[in-house]
Amino acid sequence: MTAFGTMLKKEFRELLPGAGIVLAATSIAFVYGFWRQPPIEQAVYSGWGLLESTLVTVTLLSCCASAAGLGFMQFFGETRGDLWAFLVHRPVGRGTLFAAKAAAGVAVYLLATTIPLLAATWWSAQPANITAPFDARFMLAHATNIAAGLVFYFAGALIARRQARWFGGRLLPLGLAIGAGGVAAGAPWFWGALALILATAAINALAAAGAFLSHGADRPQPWYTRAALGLSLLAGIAAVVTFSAGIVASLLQPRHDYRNTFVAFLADGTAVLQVHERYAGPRYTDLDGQPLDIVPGTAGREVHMAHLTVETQVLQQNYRECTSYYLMMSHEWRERMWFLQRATRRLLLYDLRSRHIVGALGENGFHARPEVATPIPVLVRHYWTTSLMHGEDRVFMIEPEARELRTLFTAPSGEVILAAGTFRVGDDPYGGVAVATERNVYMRQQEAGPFVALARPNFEVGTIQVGHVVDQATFVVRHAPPGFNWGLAQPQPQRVVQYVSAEGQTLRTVELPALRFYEKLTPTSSVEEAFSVLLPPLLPLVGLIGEQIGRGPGPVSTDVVWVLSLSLLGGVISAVLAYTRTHRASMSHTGRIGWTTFSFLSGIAGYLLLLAMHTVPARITCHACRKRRWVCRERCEHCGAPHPQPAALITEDQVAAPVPCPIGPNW
Amino acid sequence: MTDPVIQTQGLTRYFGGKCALDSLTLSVPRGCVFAFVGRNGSGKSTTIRMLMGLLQATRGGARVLGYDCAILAPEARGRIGYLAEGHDLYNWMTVAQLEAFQAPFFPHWNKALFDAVIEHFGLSRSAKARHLSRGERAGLALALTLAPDPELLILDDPALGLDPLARRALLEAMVYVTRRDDRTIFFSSHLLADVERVADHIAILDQSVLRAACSVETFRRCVRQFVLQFPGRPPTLPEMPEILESFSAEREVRVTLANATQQTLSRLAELSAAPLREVPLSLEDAVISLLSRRKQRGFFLQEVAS
Repeated sequence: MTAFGTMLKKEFRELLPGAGIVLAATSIAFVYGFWRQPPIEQAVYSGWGLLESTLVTVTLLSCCASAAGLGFMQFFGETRGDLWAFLVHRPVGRGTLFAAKAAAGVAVYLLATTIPLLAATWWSAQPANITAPFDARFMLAHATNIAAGLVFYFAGALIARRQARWFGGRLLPLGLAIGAGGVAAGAPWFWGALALILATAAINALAAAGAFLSHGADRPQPWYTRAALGLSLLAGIAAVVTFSAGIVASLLQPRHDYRNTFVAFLADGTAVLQVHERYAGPRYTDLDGQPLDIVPGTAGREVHMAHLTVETQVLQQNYRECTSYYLMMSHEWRERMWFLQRATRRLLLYDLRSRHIVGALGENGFHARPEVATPIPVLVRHYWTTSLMHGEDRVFMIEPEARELRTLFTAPSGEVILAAGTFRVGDDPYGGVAVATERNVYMRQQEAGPFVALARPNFEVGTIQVGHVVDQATFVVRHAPPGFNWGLAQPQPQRVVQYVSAEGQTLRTVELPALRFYEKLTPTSSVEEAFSVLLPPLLPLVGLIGEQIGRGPGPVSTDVVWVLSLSLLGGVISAVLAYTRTHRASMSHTGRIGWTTFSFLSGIAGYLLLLAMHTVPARITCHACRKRRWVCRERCEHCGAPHPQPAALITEDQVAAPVPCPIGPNW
Repeated sequence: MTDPVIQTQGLTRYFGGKCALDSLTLSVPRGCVFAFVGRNGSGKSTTIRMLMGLLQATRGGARVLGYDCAILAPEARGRIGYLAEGHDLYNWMTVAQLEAFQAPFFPHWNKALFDAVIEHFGLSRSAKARHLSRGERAGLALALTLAPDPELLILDDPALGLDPLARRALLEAMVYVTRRDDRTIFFSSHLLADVERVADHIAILDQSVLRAACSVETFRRCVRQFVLQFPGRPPTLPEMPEILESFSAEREVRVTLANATQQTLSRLAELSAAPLREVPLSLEDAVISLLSRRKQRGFFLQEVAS
């Protein structure tokens, strides 16, 4: 057997108890997640089966914790006492030893987590177990969870092997791992998330390998393992700095006051502004900002509008959400549910009691065998599709009783349907139907009634809101700007509202004022902004440049100027500290300039990284010049004197030619 | 002296602000049994760990079998047998499993030698390491260290905590190695009786500084003890750099000298009422005298007695 094989065998044997623990932890996570599954009626937002949000979160935490523990225990056990010497003193490269240990650890971890995942997948794929359809791609979320565990595994190995203070920089590699966990939990693209996670795992693996090669010291290591260690520590430092600053800021300034302003429509069709402030309920003003005496939330006060998003946008699919595979349709909620299977574009009828698929509705009608149903020409542009579906040329819905598709609207020749939706008319919450094409908005206020057309205005529109004022028998149509109301701190033009009669005539048009969706009420020189001094100057600078490029040259807000100035100040302070430190440590010119520049660009995190990665040697008093000198240098950096060589009292040379004892009585 | 197997030049190690080893310059000749002696915390283990490439030197350097210790190559590790202080082994492994784990790494694994050593210590091949006594563990660790047939054996306090029988067995095994040509043993120890029994060279560390490095024979020649006799209470001896230690009794003073010249002996003889009498000194006494140089042991006890 080769040295690598021998090492592998030994590691597998040692990891058996750890594998059992990981297997048990992952299995418990799956069992707990399935046990906590909410009823399917509540699964619109939380998902179901393998993609139920609690299950996904619990398995992510379980994978990360067990992997970190496995990596730590595998490497920490051999760092104590002289077992380390027994391990590494053999005629093979330490890289080979590390590779064998890591290969065994990774294999054991993957095995111990994949087995429960496969078992859970098989179980949830059985029709009677989960009250919703299954898709094999539900596994992908757990695959990234398991991959994120690899970053934690190597972080655990690095923490175990690297020599640093426990209350100092020892736990910092967890920062990168937590970041990878965040990517696993938040990134919507599978391959992108997997690539990012594996890249961070490679960084921590390299850093752990470096620590293994150098017996835990920061030097001597190859440049690439030191670079990986730097990246890993930098992520940890950034996390600690951000977290600490956030805690301190929230303690010093618990209130973060802001204001959101929306356009709303009262029951009589009047356009008003609805203002939300923190610690206060919504209030209403007229379009000029004058307060209105309206009790918020009063039934029937506001018009329920259909939101038709017509701007061209790429639909973000998130592989960790059920909506990427199935859309729940709002028919027959109690005993049966319709699911639009996005991959096949069929409507599956699912029986909640027997937990089986009853059949599928396709363009060719309903069939008990789903594969017989032909795809429906439906365009999925939004996840909130409920009862209405549309293709390029028609709008249709399901007739639940008849189990067939009913066409509600057919677009005139040459027009492509962009969006369709329902709005409340009187007591019927879905009585009105609105359809937007590239040129027109079509509306109808009652079932089987005629659609009236309204030409779309000649400016860029993002969302069209359509409602109905029963008393006046008029439609209210608002043309909102692209981006609608989301995340806009700058004043946005809100465009116009049109009031349209039942016959399609525009009765009047109201211009809406420009609005700031989000307005910060806290003073500019707030505590929160004072912490910008901890930010890397590069971040706000890049943000500012990006904003200027994105929206074109324009005035820069005072907030941004403050943040940028304070972070630049932080960068300068860090650079000065780094230069002083490197100068005192007699670092090379290149090293000094490099660390100073890096500390300026990355702020306080850069300086902390310098402290974490460079162990400063001791200094002693030079016997020649009496100044403090570094013990690691052969000659004094001040006077050039070498260290005094203590003479031995008895040597072979002295026997050959006896000389008086050179050591005085006080040695 | 043939080419040295270990050579250090100004080897220094600091732990934070504490100096663990100060400018060690040492040469270990091939084919000898070299004892590395010193009190606890004098820097013996630190030196050995640096020689093994397990610890980086703060300053200076060392070469073992011609290889730089800072980057000790795998082939060099194959030629060096290293027995660490605590005899740490994988506790869950049996003797046979430890052999099976160790053997594939070493191309010249000597199974007969391994079997001979474990038989010497009376070890069962099916015994788990965790169930072995301290002496048996030491024997097993030594067997694992010897079986690769190393050119140089470095042992860090191998007899620490062993009973006399186990110590004797360990020493016999070490002597077995020295019977082979050109094999060198470099070992640290507190047990000077053992050193006297097997070592032919000695290096003494005190407070991180090398105080002696020579053959045992030379050391014995350099450190000598004489008795000065007086008719009454002994006078205070004059300050002489050669005096390592003096111990006053009722009518005599025992003086231990290092590197004593004829002039020194003449001065002492003038003080004594009778001719100087040399007392045979064991290696242990000689080393203790050297290491307790600063303690002024005789004077301290004299003060207590008075």
